[in-house]
Amino acid sequence: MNSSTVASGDSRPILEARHVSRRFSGRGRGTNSVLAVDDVCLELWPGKTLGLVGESGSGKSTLGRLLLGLERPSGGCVHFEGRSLEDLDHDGRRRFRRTVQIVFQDPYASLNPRMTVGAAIGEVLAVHGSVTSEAIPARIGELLERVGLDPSDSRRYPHAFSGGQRQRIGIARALAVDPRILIADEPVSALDVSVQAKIIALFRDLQRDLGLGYLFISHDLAVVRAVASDVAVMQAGRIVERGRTSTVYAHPEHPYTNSLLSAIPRLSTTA
Amino acid sequence: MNAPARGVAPLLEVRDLRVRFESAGETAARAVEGVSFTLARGETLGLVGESGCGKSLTALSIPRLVDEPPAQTSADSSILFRGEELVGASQQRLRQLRGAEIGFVFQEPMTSLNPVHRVGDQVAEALWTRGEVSRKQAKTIALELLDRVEFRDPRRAMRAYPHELSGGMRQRALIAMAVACEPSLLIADEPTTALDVTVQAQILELLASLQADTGLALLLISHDLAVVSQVADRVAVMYAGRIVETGTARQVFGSPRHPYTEGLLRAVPTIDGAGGSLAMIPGRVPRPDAWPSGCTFHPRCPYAWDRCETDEPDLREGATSSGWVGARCWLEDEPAKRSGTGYAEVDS
Amino acid sequence: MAAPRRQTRRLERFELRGGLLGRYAVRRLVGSVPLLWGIVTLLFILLHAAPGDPMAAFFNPNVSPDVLEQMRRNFGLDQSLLEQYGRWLGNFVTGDFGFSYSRLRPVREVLAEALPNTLWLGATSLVVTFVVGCTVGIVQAVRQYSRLDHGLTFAALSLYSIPTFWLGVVLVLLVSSNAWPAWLDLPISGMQSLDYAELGAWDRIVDRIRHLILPTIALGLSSAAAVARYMRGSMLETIDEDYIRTARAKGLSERRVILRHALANALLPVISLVGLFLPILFGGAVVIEVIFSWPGMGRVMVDAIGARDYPLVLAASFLFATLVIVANLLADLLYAWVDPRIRYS
Ligand SMILES: Nc1ncnc2c1ncn2[C@@H]1O[C@H](COP(=O)(O)OP(=O)(O)OP(=O)(O)O)[C@@H](O)[C@H]1O
Ligand SMILES: Nc1ncnc2c1ncn2[C@@H]1O[C@H](COP(=O)(O)OP(=O)(O)OP(=O)(O)O)[C@@H](O)[C@H]1O
Ligand SMILES: [Mg+2]
Ligand SMILES: [Mg+2]
Repeated sequence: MNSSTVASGDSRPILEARHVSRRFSGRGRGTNSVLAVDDVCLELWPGKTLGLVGESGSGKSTLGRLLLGLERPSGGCVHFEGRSLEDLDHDGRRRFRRTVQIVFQDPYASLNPRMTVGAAIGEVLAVHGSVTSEAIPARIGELLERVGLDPSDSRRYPHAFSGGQRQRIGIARALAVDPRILIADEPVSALDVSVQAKIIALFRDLQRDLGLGYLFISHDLAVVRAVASDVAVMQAGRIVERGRTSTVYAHPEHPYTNSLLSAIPRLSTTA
Repeated sequence: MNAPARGVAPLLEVRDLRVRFESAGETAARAVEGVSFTLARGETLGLVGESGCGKSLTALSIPRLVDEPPAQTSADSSILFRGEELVGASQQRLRQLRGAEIGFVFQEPMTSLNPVHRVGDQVAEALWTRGEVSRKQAKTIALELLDRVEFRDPRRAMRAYPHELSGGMRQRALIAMAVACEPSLLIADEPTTALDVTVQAQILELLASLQADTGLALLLISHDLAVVSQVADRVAVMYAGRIVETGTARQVFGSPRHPYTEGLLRAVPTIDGAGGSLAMIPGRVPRPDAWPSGCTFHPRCPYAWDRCETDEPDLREGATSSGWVGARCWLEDEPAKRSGTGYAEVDS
Repeated sequence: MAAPRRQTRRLERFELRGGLLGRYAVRRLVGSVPLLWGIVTLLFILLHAAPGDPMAAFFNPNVSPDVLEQMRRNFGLDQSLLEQYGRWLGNFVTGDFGFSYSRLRPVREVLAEALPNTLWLGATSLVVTFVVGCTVGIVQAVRQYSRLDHGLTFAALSLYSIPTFWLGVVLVLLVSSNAWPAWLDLPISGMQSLDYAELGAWDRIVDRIRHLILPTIALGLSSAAAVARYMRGSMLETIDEDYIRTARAKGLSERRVILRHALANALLPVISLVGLFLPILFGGAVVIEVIFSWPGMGRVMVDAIGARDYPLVLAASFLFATLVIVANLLADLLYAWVDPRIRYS
């Protein structure tokens, strides 16, 4: 395993995947099982961003869920602060849930349609007890503001938001507990460039100010370049290439990385 | 907006579309405010604009899929499909058109598939329920379609339930579903957000080949300006419920007229600009229940002057040397005001 | 209404781990053994702590105290509580439920007669509850805010607030009143007519069904009203989902959109209600069986409690508890069958 990250201050990664695999069994006759994640190792450090790009269906989201313990590996294990997720005691689990957050690829499915956006974020704030109950409304407003929404949006229900607005609500909710590691699964895929730029700037600020570490899953190579110092490229469940983003982009070694980079659509003004 | 003279009537003509949300005790949210455009057979119109500016609502309004209530479409709005008025059309007529004539790819791939039915059944459904092909034939066609949208193992996808597919796979299944009946109009709302660039390229190619083969007209909503610039014949830029600029893709992306378009283009991140810098349009899209006075863009516009705060400009279109263009901006009258540094850059 | 539905979505992420469905079922049943043991043990203690004497029925000037003492000894009632418990439990696990003091027959025989009758009544009530409840709920959701919807809502709320026994008594009074049309006459007591033995096969079935009608209505109607409320809410929520819009965008008929695309999803949270309603249903059955003289477990239970017939009460309670557990398991399996996101591994 060629680790793509270097220790910076902390001597060990917060979250680490050690040779994890996940196989989904086939359904009935004639269907094959799928090895969605195949022997993947990676480390997530505070203050660092690992970009994860790859083919559609290559196992990026599954890997994200494995890292979060939402899915159990069929091989290998995930370590949180040096201890396997399976071995965490009650306190360890709590710490884990507070330290590691996820922005799901399907923001709408993780929002309760019967709960206002403010209530959904407030619930997270209350559960984690990071702010006093009087301070919750102000904090909700601040979070919404940071993702480019209006504080008064907290009174509205999820269905009254556009696709990109819902995606940002998911980001606001994940940031509510001040995590140290954020697994962001396509967090800006539904956003236009200007809002995207804002979210990317927000991610960078949080990293600089609070030392947040990211696993940034995206198919948008330009965005990954803008946020991630290191990048891993996935294909068919395996990480086929990894390294410094600038190096990988400039000198891709794996043919798949190469084809990815050459397929990027460029703004054409001379069509 | 008048259509550029094309000889034949356009396939789709949207005129003065207005959609608002009214709830007791609150100001009405005028989410779509007088949108007009046309789309001809075989043509691709790109619809771009910031998050929340009304693109999806505009798109959903065409096959009348906006829930009313809470939404309300103004009675003066007109949506002509092959000359037939869709605003106020009977449910029965709309059902005939939906799927068969107008295909729709929804923005949310993760929740737009029914979780309790197999993907194959969902793709095949629109085919056999029309009674033109048998269930068995429909399944065969569905399998072919899944193959065409780049599933590695279409047989597995047929039998899979939506939660067993990745985000991008679900999106492709939705695309397969939308083109199943070979519609003459495909409305695709952010159809490639969950796809990596190689698969995206293949899907766009598929759509292009459908256009060549069947004369499919495509309304493509995307925040990816690069994609739009490559695929669209014409582009409409939306801001705060209105179309603020239209023109051919080359005009709009090559020499944007509206400061908003200019800002959008400047914000596009590139992968080759080492270090790179992102220009940001300051502020955010206002909420539809609180559009600013005058030009709705003026609070964020680097060129705005007092006239912009009070008077709302029209979208004035006309033929220029480079074709049919228009921008909803006072700069059209006073080009000299486009001065100064424009948008500030932020370091990356 | 929102809670169970959200749960189903989250289950996608918490995919239950384990093996095959069958193995899961066996594990659940084995897992419920301690629960059942706890229930009967608690009951054993409570019954013996309660005042009253099983031999009270035989208090009679003609029966000498010696004979009573002899009977006590025969039934083992003279032993210490612990001894009684040990002996009873020992027999119980081997399937020997003991001897009924009040009916002077083996408990097993008594229950074997009563159980099918209760299952009949319970099953028909359950089916009626859910079929009627769901249908009404769907109709209400599809016609939301119409006059029909408001009317049904009013009816459901009224029915829901009526206690089962009251409804039973009112039905009996109503049907036996003079105003009731003769052609609609329905039996108000028992499971079969007196001349049942002389009827042909077809007439027997009709006779049985006619006897079932009133108790079923009395037992199921208020639950049906609750299910209707629940179904309406669940359906309305489902109709708002993105995939319903997808179905509409295909140009499907509204009928197909509702029945094929919305129904299965809306049913999910309602299925999990089955487990919740069963205890209510069985509780109601006790009362209804008494009112309609239905020879089922409910009546056996009531009689047995009155007579301090410990073995019968214990065995009958055990059976009720087992029924609830098994039915809950069936409801969960049904849920898994409808919702592909749940896998028991
Ligand atoms: N619950 C599941 N059951 C069966 N197969 C699954 C399940 N979840 C994921 N898969 C399969 O695992 C593979 C990887 O899926 P995953 O969602 O991780 O891909 P991804 O890299 O996130 O793709 P995308 O970019 O399209 O979102 C796919 O082939 C998918 O069909
Ligand atoms: N049910 C509703 N009630 C109130 N406001 C709504 C409702 N649905 C949408 N809106 C508002 O209408 C505006 C336009 O929404 P729309 O979905 O068309 O945006 P969009 O341009 O598609 O954005 P995105 O790129 O984020 O998908 C948004 O500001 C949204 O908040
Ligand atoms: Mg994914
Ligand atoms: Mg949208």
